[in-house]
Amino acid sequence: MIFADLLFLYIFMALCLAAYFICKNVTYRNIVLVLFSLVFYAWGEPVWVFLLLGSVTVNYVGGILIDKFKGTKKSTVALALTLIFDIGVLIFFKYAGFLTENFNAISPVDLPVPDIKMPIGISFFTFQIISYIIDCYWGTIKVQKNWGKLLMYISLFPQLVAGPIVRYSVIENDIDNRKTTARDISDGITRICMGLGKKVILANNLSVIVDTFFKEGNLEALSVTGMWYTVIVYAMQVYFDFSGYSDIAIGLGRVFGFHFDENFNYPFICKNITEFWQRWHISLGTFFRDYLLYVPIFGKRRKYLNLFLVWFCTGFWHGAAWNYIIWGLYFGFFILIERLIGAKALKQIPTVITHIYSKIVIIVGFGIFYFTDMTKFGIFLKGLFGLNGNPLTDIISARSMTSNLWLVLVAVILCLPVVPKIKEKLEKSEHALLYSNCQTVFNIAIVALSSILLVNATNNPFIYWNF
Amino acid sequence: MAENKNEFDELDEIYRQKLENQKKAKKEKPVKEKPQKAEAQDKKEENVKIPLSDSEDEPKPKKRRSSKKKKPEESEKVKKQKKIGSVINITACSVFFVGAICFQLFMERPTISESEKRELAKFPTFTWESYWSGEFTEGISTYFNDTVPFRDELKSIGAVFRSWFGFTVDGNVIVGNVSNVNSGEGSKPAVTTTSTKPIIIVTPPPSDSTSDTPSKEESSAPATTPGETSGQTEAPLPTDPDGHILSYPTPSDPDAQIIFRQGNQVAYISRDELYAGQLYGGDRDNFATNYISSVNTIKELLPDVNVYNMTCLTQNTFFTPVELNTESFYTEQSDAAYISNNLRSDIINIDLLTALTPHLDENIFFLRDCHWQQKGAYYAAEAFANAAGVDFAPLSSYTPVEKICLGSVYLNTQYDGLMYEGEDFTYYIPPNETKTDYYDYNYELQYENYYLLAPDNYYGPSFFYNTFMMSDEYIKHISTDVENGRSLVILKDDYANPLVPCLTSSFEDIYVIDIRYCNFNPVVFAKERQVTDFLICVTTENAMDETGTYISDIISY
Repeated sequence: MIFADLLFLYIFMALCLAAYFICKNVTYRNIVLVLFSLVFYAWGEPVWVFLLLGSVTVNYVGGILIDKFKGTKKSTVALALTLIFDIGVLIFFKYAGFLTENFNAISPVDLPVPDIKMPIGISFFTFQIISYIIDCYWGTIKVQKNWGKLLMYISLFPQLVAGPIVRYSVIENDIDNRKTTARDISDGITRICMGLGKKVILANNLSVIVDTFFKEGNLEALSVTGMWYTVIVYAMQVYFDFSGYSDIAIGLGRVFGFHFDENFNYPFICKNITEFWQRWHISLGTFFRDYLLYVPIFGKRRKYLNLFLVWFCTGFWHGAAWNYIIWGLYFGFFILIERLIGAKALKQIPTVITHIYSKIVIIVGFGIFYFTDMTKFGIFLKGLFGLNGNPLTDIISARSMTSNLWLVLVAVILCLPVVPKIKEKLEKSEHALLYSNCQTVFNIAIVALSSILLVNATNNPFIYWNF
Repeated sequence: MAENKNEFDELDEIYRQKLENQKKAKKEKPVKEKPQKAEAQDKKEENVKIPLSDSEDEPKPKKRRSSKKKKPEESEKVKKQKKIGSVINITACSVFFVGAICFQLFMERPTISESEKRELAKFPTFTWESYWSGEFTEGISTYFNDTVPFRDELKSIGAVFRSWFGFTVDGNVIVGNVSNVNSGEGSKPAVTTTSTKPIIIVTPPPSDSTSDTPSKEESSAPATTPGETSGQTEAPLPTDPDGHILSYPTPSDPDAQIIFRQGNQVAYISRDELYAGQLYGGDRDNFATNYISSVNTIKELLPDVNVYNMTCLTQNTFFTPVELNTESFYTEQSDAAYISNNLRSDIINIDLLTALTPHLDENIFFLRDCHWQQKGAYYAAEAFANAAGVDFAPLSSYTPVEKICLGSVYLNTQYDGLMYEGEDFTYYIPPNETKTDYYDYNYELQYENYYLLAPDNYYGPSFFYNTFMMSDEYIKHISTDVENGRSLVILKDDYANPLVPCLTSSFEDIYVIDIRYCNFNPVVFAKERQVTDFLICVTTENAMDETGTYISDIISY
């Protein structure tokens, strides 16, 4: 089941909220959430719910053993075995085909390439469970001794299939002691509505432009302007798609009394790539920072190798294809350069230049992200810088720009922190109620329009579901 | 380059130290509940690299859920306003959601879509097999999304919204994605939107409709496809003394079934083949005079120029079953003849009935698009060149390029049943050298030496017809390597586009002006350039619509 779906909005969510708020006791509320989460996950492919349950069970036992043997080698062994299981499951379901293909390519053998269907959200819930087990080992959290509660943490449907990757420490206290205030519910509703609008109204319609030029059109003949236009639109599409999902997840969490961390923070206003990754998919960035970057795999002095390992993993996490690995390493390269230059030196560079630099790097990065076919990526790169002999502009992309002017304009404006600024100003001038009432009208309008656009739209997946 | 140790390194070092201290501390003594929580809280606070919130209500930098976050104190008034605002928001949204839920649950769910002319999804039957495969739950989602009460009305509202942006190609708003187009044979990929079995809604042939219509000839000829030899080869067609065909027996197929209709755009089944096109909707009584007088005026204003009229004939004359064309009182061919008969005698009318009929077995029309193939346009151009007395290159000298395309009906209607019904599309690259410049509607140069035919694969299957000169919005000047002193202005609609490249071996200069995108007087324009020939080329349906008024407007500039 997906969030941008009428069945979810008007049946599943309604039933879940009704059942949740009928229960007054937090234990019953937890049971409601677990049951609905399992139904949510099992909706698309019921069989994978057993994988989820199995994974939770193994990590539950692993956590207990780590706690029991704390400070001894047995604890480390328990950690290692649990991690091998978790990573093994991820590799088996997500990377087996890719690894076999590449092994076949570099060796004389010709192994059959397994065609394994990837369970939805496996990358997200596996990382979540890895964070739990490592935190248990480090002792930064208390081991959860109730299997049901651990299951709730992992399977909580708002963040189960496409993040954000919620740390156990973030909701540790909320599992047993949480209160939902009117403000929480109101803010949660607003986030849900905004997230839905980002996905259905913006991302879905921006995707039509991208498909027109990158998927259906002839890439080789696309003009320089057309290439830039399309890849910029694609960057915004991914942003609204993924941040829309995160908004819905955070909003739902808020309604249920959980306070998930933010996953996006207006990434396109960054002045450098390091900052971009502090604003884009924050939960993934912090996961790698906390669990990989500062673990001295290559020795303390080889920190730059660690940096590249992190960015290799970041890329590889996104998908079993070379373009994702290149994408990760590409960003790792620029982050390394920025580190070598130093934050102070970066600050001395005029803001206009840093903005131009960062946007070009990010936009080219999205090109790498889009094209799983390296040949097409080569064409894209040449076209982007006018090296394929195509004209500066072309008629069809020029017309697309004018036809979609307001859509792109709205998208650009919403990529900037304009709305929070307006809110801040209104609150400063003590017009909070005016803002709130406008927000209410927008909420209803957005949900109504999104619902209309969702009629008969069953193929509406979020991009990050693929990961 | 900075020194080895910079601010990032310092941050790293601080973070690493803290991490190691934490681990050491944990190893030294088992964690107790209280300190652990505090430490977890500390850890959250250490994650200071993520300073800001994407949340609209917390734009200020904050530490991750830190209770110590510094936020400007809200005044009592703001607090109160926020509280009231929250209650209003919850109440209003709850009322909306409850209303929407009741609407979904208690209103009658449709079983048939009138606009899509198909049976909607049914609630799936439960079996364990279908459950474990996910088909059952997917079926529920499909049912729920497909059978929303008032779905057709809601989809219309959605279409209006999309039309505010979308992507316009010569008046057709393209809002969907088209991919994986097949040539019409072989395996069809699973449809990506709700796909349910189309229902056959029979449009019964109006029992005496053809006999009641004075100009519609009764015909016993079978429905033909463009690739088949039609009945006309079996019996000679009526001709005038000059050998011009007087009428063509539009095929009859009482069993033809319309499976989808939106306005005049239809998809129908005839003789086991799926067709799609635009039914003829010409309105002779209201518009014929406008068109005829406009063309006559052009000739009056250009007495020394050869003026030609070409009112194009479409599938509606040659293979759309006569039973389906009930919109117009007159037939397409009779309207074309009417125009021809009422033009000034010094205007040369290009008779396409005679030009096209011998080639009906050569795939000169699309099956699921309302335009003609370029081959059809080639034969029309040949008839025009013969009438103009200029050279004309044989088709064998052209380079054919074969493609797969999706028809205009799919583009205009997004009817799912046509999504994978691609068909062959062949265009021909002329043998001679040309230079094409694009001008805007004020005749100011925009693109110099641009494309006569778009580069190969420039347009996907959805936009294939734009291959010919790419866009109607621009006026084109084509200079050729012909040296015969003849130059031509073509005043046209989009249907005429494939014809233009076929004339590059016949004229030195060709000026192509779309009637809809012209901001100057084409007659004055022709006079200034001393053109020798002036062709008006539009579909008969457009001639029997507002085109005459448009021409009249622009020649008055």
